Amino acid sequence: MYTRKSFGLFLSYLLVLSVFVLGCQSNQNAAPGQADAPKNGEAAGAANQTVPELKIGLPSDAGPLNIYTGNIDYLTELVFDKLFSPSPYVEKPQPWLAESAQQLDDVTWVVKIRSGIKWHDGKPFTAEDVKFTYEYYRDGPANRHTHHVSEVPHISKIELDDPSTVRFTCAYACPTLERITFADLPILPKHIWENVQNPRKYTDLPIGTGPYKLVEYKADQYYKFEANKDYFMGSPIVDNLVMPVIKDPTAIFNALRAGEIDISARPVPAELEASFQNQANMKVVQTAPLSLIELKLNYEKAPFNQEAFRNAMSLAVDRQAITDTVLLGKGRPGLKGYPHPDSPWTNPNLSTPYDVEKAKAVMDELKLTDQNNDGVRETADGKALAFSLKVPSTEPAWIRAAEMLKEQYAKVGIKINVEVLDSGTMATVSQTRDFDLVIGTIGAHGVADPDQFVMSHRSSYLWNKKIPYPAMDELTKQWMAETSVDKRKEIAFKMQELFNKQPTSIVLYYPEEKFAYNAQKFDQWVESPGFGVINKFSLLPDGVKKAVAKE
Amino acid sequence: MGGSWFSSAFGKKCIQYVLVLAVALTINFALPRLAPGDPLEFFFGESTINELTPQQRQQVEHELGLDRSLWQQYADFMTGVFRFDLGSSIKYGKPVTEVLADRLPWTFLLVAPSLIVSAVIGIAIGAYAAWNRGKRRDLLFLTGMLTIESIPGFWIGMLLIAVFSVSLGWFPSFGAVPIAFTGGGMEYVLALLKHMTLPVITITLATIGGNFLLTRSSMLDTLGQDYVLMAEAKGAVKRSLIFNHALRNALLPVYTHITMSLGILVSGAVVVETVFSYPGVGRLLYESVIARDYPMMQGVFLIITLGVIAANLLADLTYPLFDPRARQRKQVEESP
Amino acid sequence: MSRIGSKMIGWLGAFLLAIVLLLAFVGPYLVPYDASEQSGAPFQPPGKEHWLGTNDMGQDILAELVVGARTSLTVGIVAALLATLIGTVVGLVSGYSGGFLDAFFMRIVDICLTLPFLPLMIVIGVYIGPSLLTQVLVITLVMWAGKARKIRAQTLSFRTRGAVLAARSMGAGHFYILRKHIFPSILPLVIPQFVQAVNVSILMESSLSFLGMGDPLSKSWGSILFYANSRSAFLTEAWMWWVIPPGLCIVMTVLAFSLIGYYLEERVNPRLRAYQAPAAKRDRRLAQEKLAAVKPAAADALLDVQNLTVQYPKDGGTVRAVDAVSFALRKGEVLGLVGESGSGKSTIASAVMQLLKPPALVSQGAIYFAGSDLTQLSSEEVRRLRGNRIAWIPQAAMNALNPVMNVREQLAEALRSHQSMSKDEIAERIDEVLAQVGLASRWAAAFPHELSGGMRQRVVIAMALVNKPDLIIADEPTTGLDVMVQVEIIKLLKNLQRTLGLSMVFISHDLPVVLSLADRTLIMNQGKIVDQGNTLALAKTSTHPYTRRLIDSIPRLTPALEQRSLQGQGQR
Repeated sequence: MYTRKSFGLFLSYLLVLSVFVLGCQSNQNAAPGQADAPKNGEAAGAANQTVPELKIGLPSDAGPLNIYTGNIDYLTELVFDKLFSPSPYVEKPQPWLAESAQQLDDVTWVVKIRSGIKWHDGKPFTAEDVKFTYEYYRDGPANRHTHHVSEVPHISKIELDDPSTVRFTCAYACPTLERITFADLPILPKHIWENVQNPRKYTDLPIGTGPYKLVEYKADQYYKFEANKDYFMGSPIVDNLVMPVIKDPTAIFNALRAGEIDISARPVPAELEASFQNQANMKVVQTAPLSLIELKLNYEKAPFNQEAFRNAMSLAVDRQAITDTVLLGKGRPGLKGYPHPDSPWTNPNLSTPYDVEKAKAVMDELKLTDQNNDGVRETADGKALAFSLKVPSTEPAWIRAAEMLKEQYAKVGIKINVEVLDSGTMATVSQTRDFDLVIGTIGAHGVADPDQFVMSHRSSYLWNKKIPYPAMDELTKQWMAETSVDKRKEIAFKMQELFNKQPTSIVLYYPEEKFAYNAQKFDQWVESPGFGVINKFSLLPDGVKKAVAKE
Repeated sequence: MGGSWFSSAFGKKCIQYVLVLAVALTINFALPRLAPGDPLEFFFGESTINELTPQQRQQVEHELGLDRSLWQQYADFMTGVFRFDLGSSIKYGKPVTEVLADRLPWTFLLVAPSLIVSAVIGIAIGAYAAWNRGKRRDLLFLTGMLTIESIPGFWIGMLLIAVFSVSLGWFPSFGAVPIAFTGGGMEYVLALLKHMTLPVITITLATIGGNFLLTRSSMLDTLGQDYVLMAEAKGAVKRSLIFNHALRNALLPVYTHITMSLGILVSGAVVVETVFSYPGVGRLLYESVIARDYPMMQGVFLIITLGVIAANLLADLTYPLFDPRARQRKQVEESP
Repeated sequence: MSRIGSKMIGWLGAFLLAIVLLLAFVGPYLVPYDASEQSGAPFQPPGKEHWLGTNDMGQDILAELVVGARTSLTVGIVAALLATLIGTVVGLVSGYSGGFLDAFFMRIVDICLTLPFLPLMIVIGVYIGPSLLTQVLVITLVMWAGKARKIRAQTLSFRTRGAVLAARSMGAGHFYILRKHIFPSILPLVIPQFVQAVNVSILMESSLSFLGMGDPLSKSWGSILFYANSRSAFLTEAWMWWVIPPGLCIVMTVLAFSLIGYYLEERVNPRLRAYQAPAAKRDRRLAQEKLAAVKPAAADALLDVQNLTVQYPKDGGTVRAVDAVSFALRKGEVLGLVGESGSGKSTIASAVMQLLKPPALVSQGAIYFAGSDLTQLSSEEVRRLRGNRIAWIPQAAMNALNPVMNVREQLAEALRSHQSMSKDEIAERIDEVLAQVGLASRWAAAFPHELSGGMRQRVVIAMALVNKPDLIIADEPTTGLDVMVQVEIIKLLKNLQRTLGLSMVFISHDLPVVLSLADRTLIMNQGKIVDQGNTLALAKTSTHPYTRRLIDSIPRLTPALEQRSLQGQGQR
């Protein structure tokens, strides 16, 4: 008997509850913004005294911060330092582990190392570590940093002039070594890594010189960091960082709202912005990430191997419409092409306009016309212009973009068949280049680093060095020979112009990233270009912070 | 002990299980390799992999043992299984067994209480409804339970999160314990309970309908049996009629069902663990499939297969405790 | 009542299904938008333009829902059809042919059932690539084995049925037998299997799509939920129009099939209908009021049945199973009750025991036992009489013992239900009563399945005797036993009756047996007593045509009667 009663009770209880909750929900949203007023004061009060703990929700797991197996740059850099900081994506990186760097001639640089720095295990940091790291990157297994030593540019010799001075000799002109290479490569401890047999299987917690030590890591669950109180740039202002991995987007923002985490490393999607801005203790900060969402064309396949056709493909995309729909207008349409317009290394005059008529005209000129009047153009030998567009199932926004692209291309007589694949299959597809079109994303390292732009044309990402591309190859040759930074930049601008005229990667949009955080807990986040607000500078004392972070 | 062990019912069962296990293991080995995708990607992320030269790729594949022939990999896998050495997870960089040992307790923590609650309530209401068959309360329970059974598990989970977690904030929405929990003893237990509540309710609701329906129909069956009528005719009290005669017999198939579902629930928790970001085996499986982490996938498959087989075995072995007929049959078959 | 209940369930299911079908077939023509058209701004709340708002791409959610109904139903029905078809074919072939083929198929089925289904779905889903076809394939693959096993079990039970054996002996081809005999018997079982399969596949489809393993490009309820979840519908109020409606649609559809499936299952499975809860008290009261004006029992009668009428509803009207029957039984007397099956004789036994199965009820008359009307007693008062003063030996005694309790427990329960006795007393009494029925006391530890049919019947008789009852109702106590055992049991009853001086109502369709036992005999036909009298007189001199027909159909009648009358005379 009692079971029936209690069950009935439970049901009616649920019912009442849901009605109640529905009521609450609409009330909450009906009264927007209980104002931001009180929290600024509190936050100011919090400044300059250390915060015992911050909880940062991570949308993905990067392994035990081994740069050979997983990369989330903002996490890597909590533990490791580079010779210069913050990154290659700013006008002028500051000396960091280095005290200074000096270019002796076109191919030679000397770097003076800061003294008195210690690794997390207490061993002193020396120039030997720098020499070891650069040689290891150049000669050892590849990772995402290594081409900066081994190919573009190529450092042929690394020697110690004295115990605190390293001399780098390049194989060809390397005017940007200080601004790019030195600012990009994390320095590894020689005493640990010289004993590592297989860096890809190395799973010990990392030892670095950085402001935080990784003290605990549980795969797919959480990271725990402890402040390195002896940090040479000043003791961090947050004692402990706890970073749970919460992959589900709903779960992570729910946790943020419930106060279970203090900031989410997953950017707040446009549809949720308002709800966080309305919450009393929350703030939303906007950043300009150096990343973009791109439609990649398989340049190895016909007809994408025709420059003019690639141009037509680019002209047919209405990037504004996609941005308006998919991002609710919160982001910039990819009208300035590739690489990212906010990078100091990008030609500010690039343009990739939307022009249906021109796209049609270009294709007509290529003799790609609709011969059988089915609305789809054919090549001269009667093959319909029908392509598959592959998108990962994990990115619903991209799927939506793909659906729009399908309609847009239909207007110019190109038939697109959208295929949604799981991310595992997706990765293989783009690696084996078994695709016509894919949608993907690329971050700062790819689109804000000028050396990477050249590299991407050699590595197969944007082009493959085995396939001749006379115009681009000529420019690359000039670029490599050029010894002045500014002139190199000019040549790079020309390369970018050429690229966007016949792009192998059509930029759809430059996303804006907004981060919501609990301002009562911590309100001193600063953006470092390409890193968002969750970066080591946010967690360092004021003086250092100002020097490196973006205004 | 007449007759050899092999001809005994138990022996036959065991041989059958070994056979099933062997085939299942082979399929477990083969399945992940049939799927497209490549674990290398997950090492480097896409942009890095494209910078690797073919030689570098080969080197990496060699390091990971991916360049060996399928037969070699198969032999390794099969011999490894018997040494409890399932290799190292590519994604986690740790022995597969270690990762599994890490996750299994969490899944059990969810599954065990859910199963118990769902069984107890399902059986109680099922028996009650059967006893009152045809009356209004039976119809109400029947339609109610059929309705609950019609709700997709993930949807229950989502709604519970929306109501109790997002709107009311009573329960956390993800994980098994608060991140970096420092409190000890009671506090820890309390936190565990709080995290468990919603997922346990979800699994319970998702499985209770089955238990209810099975108990009800089984109970209806026994209530119509002559021995229940006989018991009534000999003047047995109602309590004895229901419990000693009807329910005790009706529970036999229910017991088998519940015992067997022990094994299935390990994998069945995938959806719920995903919705609640719970660090159990189900989510581990989902993650390793996405990452094409072959050794890990095999490990999870193995655990799930073993779970199902163990549950079957458990049901087979313990069933005679409750049904004397099964006891007898074994004896009869054992003697030639 | 229950008929109405399960019909209601069936109708409710049909009604819900009709709504869903309407949604799927007509819906797309009524909703003014195309589901794949960006008909509004993204993330619109419900309003005049879009009744359920728009999704993240500005598509009308209502339009998505109605198109989704088509997808979900298609996947569900096609997958269920395939799984049921494969399962039926494999089950039929395997169950019918037996031998190697059977073993082979069943091992495959075992393995399929051992394989973890969700991981399997994930891997296969990933391997073939997302599309509706993939989902159908995967769901089919997961479901067929269970169906095959069920159909095989059914086929096995039909394989040995008369018609099949007959057809076989006449040399009918296997295919012919399968098609003509087995398949038609299996069909009613296949249909509920199919309906349940539709359910499971719709749920699986939605789970798969929700996990992102479906085809996010096709509009299904699962994929609507996938987008809603990944675009954080839960964190805004959007979940009310973006999450609830597709979820409700899934629940409604699955429920519709569940209800229909339940209804069909109950129709084809008689075991589910065997039991019926006793009618509520007030129903019984109603019946009792009609009984009021009956004269009190005759003083010397142990059992006095007066004008007993038992009826049950059928096809809107009522049928009288027992029609105004009156008889009485004195102490120490054996009353025979003879009639063909369906003549109402067993119903009288049930009525006396107050064990009528609803909806049958006593609508008129009274049953006086030792002076009080059993129909007027409370259920507790009746319980105290049952097994204590009135004992019952049921027909089909083979199944009258609880299979999970041993003989001792079952006998002890009968004792404990009526008397408070010490353990030793109980043990003593059990040994005693077992001895009376000719069983060694070691059998007390046995379970029913360890006993032969005759032994079981002896236990049942022991159970009737254990509380030394005043009256025993023996309702065809030899049904289902082989002839030799029947003779033994009758002998035993005869002896017991004589030695213990039992009063007994002995019911049987077997006239010779009754004639050999009963002092007086009633002949029943179609619920009425057509003839009665002293057994010997009845057998010799009855002129009632029905009685005569019964008696004349017994070839050995005369010698048996003679023998009995001689015995009887010799003893008195």
